[in-house]
Formats: sequence, structure tokens, C-alpha cells
Amino acid sequence: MRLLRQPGIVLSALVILLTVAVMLWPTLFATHDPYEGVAVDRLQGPNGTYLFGTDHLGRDLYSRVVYGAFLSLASAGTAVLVGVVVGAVVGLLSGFVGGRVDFVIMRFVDVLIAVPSILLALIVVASLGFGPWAVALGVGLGAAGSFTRIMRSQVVRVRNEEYVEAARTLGVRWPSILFSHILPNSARPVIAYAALELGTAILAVSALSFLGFGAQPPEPEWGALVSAGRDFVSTAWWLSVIPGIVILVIVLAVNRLARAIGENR
Amino acid sequence: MSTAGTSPNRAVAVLRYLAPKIVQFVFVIWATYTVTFLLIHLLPGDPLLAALSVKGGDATTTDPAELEILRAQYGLDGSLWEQYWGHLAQALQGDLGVSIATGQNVGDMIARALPNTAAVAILALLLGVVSSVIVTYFAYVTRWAWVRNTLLQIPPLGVAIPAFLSGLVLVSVFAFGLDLFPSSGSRSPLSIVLPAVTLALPVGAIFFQVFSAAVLEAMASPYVFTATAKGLSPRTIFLKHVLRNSLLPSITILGLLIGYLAGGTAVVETVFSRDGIGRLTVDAVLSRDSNVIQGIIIVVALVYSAVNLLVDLSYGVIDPRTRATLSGRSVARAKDEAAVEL
Amino acid sequence: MRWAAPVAAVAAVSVLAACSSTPAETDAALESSKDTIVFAIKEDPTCLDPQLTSLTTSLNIGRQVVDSLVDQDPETGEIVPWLAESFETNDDLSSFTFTLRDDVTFSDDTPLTSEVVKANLDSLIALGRTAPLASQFLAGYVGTDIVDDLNFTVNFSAPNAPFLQGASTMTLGLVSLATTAETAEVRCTTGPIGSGSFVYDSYTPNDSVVIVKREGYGWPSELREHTGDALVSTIEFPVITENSVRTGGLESGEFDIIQDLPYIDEARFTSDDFNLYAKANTGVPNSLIPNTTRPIVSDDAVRKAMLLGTDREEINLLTGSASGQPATSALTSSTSGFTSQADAMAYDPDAAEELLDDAGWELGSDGIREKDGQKLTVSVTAFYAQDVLEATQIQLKKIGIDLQITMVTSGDFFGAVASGDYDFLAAGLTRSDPDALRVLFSTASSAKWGIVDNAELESILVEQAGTADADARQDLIDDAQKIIIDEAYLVPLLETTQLHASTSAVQGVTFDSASRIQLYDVRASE
Repeated sequence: MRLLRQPGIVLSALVILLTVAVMLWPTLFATHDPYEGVAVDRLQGPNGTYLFGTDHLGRDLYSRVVYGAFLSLASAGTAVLVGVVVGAVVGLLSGFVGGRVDFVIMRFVDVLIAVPSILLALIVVASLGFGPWAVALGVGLGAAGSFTRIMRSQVVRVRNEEYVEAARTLGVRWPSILFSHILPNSARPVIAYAALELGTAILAVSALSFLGFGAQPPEPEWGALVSAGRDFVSTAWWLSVIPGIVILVIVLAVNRLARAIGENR
Repeated sequence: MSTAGTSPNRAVAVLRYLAPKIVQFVFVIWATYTVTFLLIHLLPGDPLLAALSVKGGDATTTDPAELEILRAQYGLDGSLWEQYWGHLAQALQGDLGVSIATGQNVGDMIARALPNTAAVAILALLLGVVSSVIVTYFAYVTRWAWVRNTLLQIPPLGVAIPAFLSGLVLVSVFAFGLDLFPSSGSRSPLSIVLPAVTLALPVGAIFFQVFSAAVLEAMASPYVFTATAKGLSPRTIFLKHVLRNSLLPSITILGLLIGYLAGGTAVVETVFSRDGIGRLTVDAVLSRDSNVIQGIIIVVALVYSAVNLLVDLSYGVIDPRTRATLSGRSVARAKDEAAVEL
Repeated sequence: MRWAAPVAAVAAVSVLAACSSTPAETDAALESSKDTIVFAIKEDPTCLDPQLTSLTTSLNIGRQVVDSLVDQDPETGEIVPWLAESFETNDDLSSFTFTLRDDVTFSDDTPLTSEVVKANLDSLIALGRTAPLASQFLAGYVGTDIVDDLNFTVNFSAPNAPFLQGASTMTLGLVSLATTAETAEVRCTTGPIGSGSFVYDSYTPNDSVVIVKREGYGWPSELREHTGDALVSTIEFPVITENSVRTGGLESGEFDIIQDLPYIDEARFTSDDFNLYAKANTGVPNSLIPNTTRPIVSDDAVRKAMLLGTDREEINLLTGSASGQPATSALTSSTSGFTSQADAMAYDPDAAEELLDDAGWELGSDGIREKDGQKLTVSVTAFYAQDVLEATQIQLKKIGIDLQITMVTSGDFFGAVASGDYDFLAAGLTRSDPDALRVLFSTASSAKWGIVDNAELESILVEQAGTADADARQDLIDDAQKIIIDEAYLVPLLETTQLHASTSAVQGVTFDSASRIQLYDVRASE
């Protein structure tokens, strides 16, 4: 419980908990309908009625940020999940089978990592149509390369351990070894990396959204909010800055906790 | 394992080490090209229509007969196989083809955009690395724990801040507000400063994580213990011993950083209205401009692989231990571990 | 008296000199304190030849480099001489005879002759689809008969009412003989040789275009403020895609003029330190354009309810320019031939809801209507003006219609047009002639976006394109607008206004009849 003594970690955990709550129960937190605009109230700064101010159509920014949480974070989470699952499966296969199969697979992973992740994501999104889930898939595939490498190196390492050799001589079959030794030992670095990747994925998803590839209007995905607000940087700065800061705070919290996991588990 | 040997033996050893790497280099570039080709041509959407609409606006024709004529004109007919080999053959001769959307030579477009991106990327890398080293240095030598803790909190901020936010804020404050730097374009040499600072934040932060971890490890090592016992000042220890030993693992992520920069430039170039590889890529994917996309992929893969090759080679130079074995496996292991530690 | 004749002669010469020096005096009054004007544009022009593109940004630059046979007064619509000092047409508008000025040369010093004009028109026909807008102006082109160096006749197989108007645009602007022989790619990337008051100096894609003045220019149309060379020696067009950077640059003085001031920022530049230039686009306003072969869209009640349920005044307030008008017909108010349909399309949400109720669309629990288990959901495909659509979406939700917005790239937009795979498209069609309605709706049109099945409308649209008599044509266009609005074949949303801004020191920026920019007289005063 030494963990709880560090204020950074406690704060980060609280932020994450709050964010998850907002994600799952937006109606509890929002003050207005995020899609309805009151024309006369447009472009107001943060005030008593509209906590984060209003946009050019008179919509409440705070409520839009609240409803956007699910879209932005769920797609980032999906991206990491895609990366982990694809990476784990391929990495396991590669490390387990070894030999030429391993060699070929790892060369393709080299290629995957050589293609800039944003280009890969762009191509996936362009094929599947714009939208948060296509973005998630694209970002996830880009991350899969690193997960594959991690998984594979863990598999190779464990496979060569003495206790595994011992188990084999005792007649323990590979699937059993897989589940009782290899997977648990690989879990730690994979989870640590996944936690870190979550922060990256949130940023990547919102960047692609910012460039216009994410959710369709009027969905209030955070990257899209920043993008929509950038025409108003001089007159209504809160439209871009506030969602941007929300992204920043959450990524900070996620990274802080990820590092804690990596160091302590 | 003998490290010293007669020159011919050394030469053969180096070649044995280099050969697979070069083969890998070529393979990666070819495979990247092929995979991209497949992906692009499996994209829905008609590249011809996309290209025409860029110039045609609301007068773009959509009559199928007329489109067929144009398709033949641009060489977008023929089987996938024919297009693939035709394009590859051309590329090997140095001709990257013509952009469907703009009619310009792809090689020219990339040659124009690359220096813009490279200038920003290199400055960002420099700023990021230098500031990380400086922050780590002060964190290391300071006597006060609170200074160290505060300094160590700054870089994670750099990773977390979205580039589009920092870019917009920097433009508002430093370009329009204080009028210190140009806000856009590449007409003035000063115009690379703000974009470079925007990218230096995450790049520096990532570098910092690896570098400071290496410094921490070095701090706990026996030779530093000895040096402190000998009475050397923290400053000397840092500059003479710790720095060099920490740079080695940090170099392994150079490839990662290049990949990151390649991605980050898209956002930065959009915010700062600069011509560059990132913008070119976004525009090309949007208009299904396959020739441009493939040209960029080839160039980026080349740069990335070249950097990795140099990194692998430099391992041998920097770390005598790796040089002795000249084993590709140990180098790859080191890289894997660096990736995990991140 | 022996000296009377010489005195008379001197007197006569002085009087003549005085008369001809008047324009020179006007010239002397117009000069620029700045030699270089910086005009920030919002996107890369992609093609420098105005004959081959219809991107407004390219046309705005191209206008300064090529001249046209005739010019059109943007206020009155009157066609006046330019490179052709006189012109006439036959009774059914199928044959147009021009007489050129004798002093026009291109920037490569070749003279403008009938041969050159013929080469221009013939090569445009040969280019066909690569020059889509030009093809529309030259529909039915048979050929050009050359009488002599300065006289020629352009012939069409059928009456071509919009031809003269087209001839005033830069799309039919004249380029040199050498340029007509080049391929389209070269013409787009290096720029054409024109006879305009400026010539292309450099084009760095995605970065900037630079044009420099043509020494010895002397053939502006009578609509311009001065004669002789342009008043500035250089105009730079940096490509600045970020709106906030463009407006910030105008405020800081980095740019003299900027293209496309976002309406939202209009209020910032209404002070005396800046000039605003607003011109409503001509043609069809930004509208929801239906594909009536689709279910739900085919339901007349739904379309009419959508028409009555959209509050064009609010849309104009939220997303339009302060100087713009709400849309009140199938044509914009600045288009010749416009007749207001305001009564038929006044905002009436109650009437809209009644229409839907009567047609069997009942309000569901989520606020969206449904009928026979099907929700009243329609989709709109667009590649710009997202905020206009979002405002419309909010309004339609109030009467129970779910409008789904699909923003795509321009390439995918035309892909949808080609495949017919859309409920509604949202866009405007910018043309200076009411023939735009035919382009939009006629089944024979190559750029038909509105898919409707109405024989009466079809015949009216085809007829008006071949009607020479102005009054008869106007009657037909009135009928067309009435039918389109009554049947709700269009849900007009917004009259797009070209809005540009400059510092107050800049003078001489004017719009032509197609809302593109003329910079011949541009100058800065201190």
C-alpha cells in the first residue's frame, strides 16, 4: 500500500475513476442536451449556466465533452485491445513455432513498424469509411507490431527457461505450459505496455479525429471538438482549449498509473 | 571470442554482420511497398473521380463513358498485376510517376516537401534531446529532492499534451499575440521554430523516459559508487561516465522517434499551414492518389530502415561488448528490452 | 492672316491633346504606395490554367492572367466589349460574330488574332472532359469561321443562350497559340500564357503563387478604373489553409488581403481599419438536393415538410454572412432570373408537422417520427459546409425528422453522384446563368445531382436553354423555380456569400459577374 502514499498516483486513480463514471453514465453528469443548440446563447464563455461555454450553434460545451467521453475513450480502448489481441496471437505463434515461420512473421512485423502508424490508420480509415471504430482499428493495427515483438520475446525467453525444460521432461504438454507459465509471465510486460499504449491511443484517436477522420457530426468526439473550435481560437478559445486540456489530463493520469503498474507489479 | 584479429578476418566478420542487415533493409522496403500497393488498390472509391473533383469542383463530370476515356489516359486501366509491375519497374529507375490529383511529378512533390519536414523534425529532435539531457542533468546533480521531483514531472506532461493543442496555443500566443514568430508557411527561416517546439515536447518526453531510466540505472552501478567514493563531483561523474553509458540504450529508440515524427508532422503541418510529408500524405490518402502514397511510403521506409541500420551499426561502435559478439540476436534483444522498458 | 492657320492648328492640336489626356490624368491619380500586395488564399489552386479548373481559388488567380472576349457588368448584367471591341449575334443565338481589338498581344509577344481564338475553342472541345466547365459553355459547338485576322464567327448547332455570359468568364479566357498546343498537365502546372495584366512568376504547390505585372498592358474593359499597366508590380498568394491563421495574419498586417473570411469572424473586421468585400454567389444556393428514387425521399409530404421545417433565417444568422440574404428560391437572389418563392417556402413548423401527421408519420418516443415500423431517417452527403448541415439537423429534429450527416471528401462526393447512392446531397451550384437549374436537374445533364421525375420541369429546363427571347426565357425560368419549390425538389438552406477582407489601405478590389475577383485596379494607399 506504499502506492497510496504517493499523491500523484492517488490523483491519477481518482481522475480515471471519474472519467470511467462519466463515460458510462453521461446523463448523470451532463447539464444540457449535447445536440441541441440555443441560437441566442452562442459563443458564450464559461459561465454559471454553461460550465464550459457554448459553441457557434449555441450548444453547451460541457455536456458535449461529457457525452464525447465514451466515443473518444472507448475507441482508444478498442485500439489497445486490438493491438494486444492481434499482437499476442501473432507473437505467441511466432515465438512458439520458431524457425522460418518466426523469421517471416517478424520481418512482416518490421514492415508494420516501418509504415508510419498514422499512414496505416489513414489507409484503414479510408477503406472502411470515416468513423471512430475504423480509427480504432487503424490505430490498433499500428500498435500491434510492438505488442507482437514484446509477446514473442517473452515467449522465447520463457521457453528457454530451465523450469520449462524440466516440465517438458516430466511430460507436461505444451498447451499446459502455455497457460501456466508462458502467459502469466508475459502478462506483466504486456499489461504495462498496454497501459502506456492507452495514453498514446487516446492521443492518436483524437489526432485523427482532429484531422477529420473520426466521428461524423454532430458527435462530440474530443478531437473533433478541438478541430471544430480551431476557427475560433482568437474569439472563443475555450472551444478548442478546454477539450484539449481534458485530453491532456486524462492521458497524464493514464500514463502515471501505467508507470506505477510497470514498476510495481 | 577474440576481438582482435587480422584485418581480413575482421572484414569478413563485418560483412557477415552487415549482409543480412542489408538484405533485411531491401526486403522491408519492398514488402512495405507491396503491402501499401495492395491496400491502396483495395480501397473503395474511384481514384480518378477523386482526382478530377479536386480540379473540377461542382462541374466534375460523372458520366461513365467519359470517365472510361480518362481512365485510359491516366493509365489506371489494366489488371492489378500490370499496374504493380509497371509501377515497380518505373520506381526502380527512379521515376515515381505522376500524381493523379495534381498532375505534378511525384518525385518533385516529395523532394519539395521533404526538406520542410526534415527541417522541423531535426530541430524538434535536437531541442527534445538537448532539453531532456539538461533536465536530467539538473535532476541528477541537485541536492534537493523537491527540485528533482518537480523536474521529473515535466516530461510526462510533454507526452500527454496533444500536438494540435500545443500547436494552436503556441500560434495564438507567440505568433499572433507576441508577434515573435511567423504563424504559417515556410517563407521565413523562423517559421520552423514553433512547429519544431510543438513536436519537441512529445519527442523530448519520450527520449527523457528512456534516457533518465538509463541514468538511474547507471547511478546505481558499482563504478559510479567507486567514483563518488573517490571524491569526484556529481557533475564530473555525470558528464564523464553516466552520459555516455546512458546514451547507448537511448539511441535504440531513435528509430521509434523517427516513426513518431513522421506521424506527428501531419497534425503540425495542418495547424501551421506548412507544406510537408505529413500534409502530403493526408491529402494523398484523401484523394486516393496512389502514386503519391507509394512514393511517400518508399521514402519513409527508406529513411526509417536507414536509421535503424545505422543504429544497429553504431551499437558495435559504442558498446565494445556487442562488438565482440557481433551477434544480431543480442542487438535485437537489447532493442526489445528497450521497447518494453518504455 | 498668315499665322491664323498655324494658330488654329496649334489650337486644334491642344484641344485634342487635352481630350486625350483626360484618361492620363485619371491614371496619374491612381497609384500604389506598396509595390507588392500579399493576398492569402485558403487552399492550393492545384491548376493554374483557368480554362481547365472550376476551383474558385484557381479562378481568382487565373482572372488576372487571362482576358476574355467580353466583360459583364456585375450590377446590370450587361455584356460589354473587352478583347472583342464589338460583337453581334443572330436571332436564335446559334451564331456569334466578334471583331477583335487590333492592339492585343500575349505575354510571349504574339498577337491576338481570329486564328488564336479558333485554336482556343477547338482545343477546349478536344480536351472535353478535362475542361468540364468550358464544355458546358460550349455545348453544341460546331466550329469557328474566320473572316479575317480580326473578325470571326462562332457557330453552334442549337441556340446557346448562356454563351456570351460564358465568354465573359475566365473559363473562356484566351490563351496564346503555344499554350493551346500544350497538354493539360503542363498547362496546369506551369500556367498558361495569357494577355492579362499580370503573368505567372512562380508556383510552389501548397506554398504560394506569385504573379508579376505585364509591362505594356493596354486593353482593360470599360468596367475598370484605369488603363495602362497594373498599379502594383507583384501579387503574392501564400496558401494558408488554417482559417485562424489567415485572419490572424490580416489583423497583424502580415497579409494585405485574405480570401474567405469565415463569417464568424466578420464582426472582428467591420471597423474602419479593414475593408470587407461581400458578393452573393450566383446560381443555386447551398441546398438539400434529393434523389427521389429513394424510399422516404420519394414521399412528397416528407420533402415538403422538410422545406417548411427549415428556418432559413436562423441558418443564415448562425452560419451565414452578416451581409447575406436567407435563401428564398431555387436560385440565389443575386442570379439573373431570380424570382422569390418566399411565400411558398416560409418557415412554418406547424404546417410541416401537419403534413407529416396527415401522411401517417407519427411521433415516436425518441422524438423521431415513424410509419409502419420505419423511422423517418434520411441521410445527406456533403463535402463542405458542415455547420450549415448541423444547424439544419437541429431544426429538423424539432419536427421529428432525423437527418444523418455524412461528411466525405470531394472525391467520394462525386463518387456518390456517379453511383446515385445518396438520399440527399448538400451543396450549391455556382453559375452566373440561371441555366444552372438545367445543369442540376435535367436528365440529360452530365452533372445532374437532383434526381427527379417530372416531365413538365424537364421540358421547361431544356426549352429555356434554347430560347433567344429574354422575356420568354424569363417566364420559363420563373415556372421552373415555382415547380421546383412547390414540389420541394430542393430544400434551399443558405445563399453562400463570397466574403473577403483587406486592410483599409487596399483599394480597387472588385468582383466580376460570377463573384470572382478582379485585381487589375488593386493598389495600396498609405
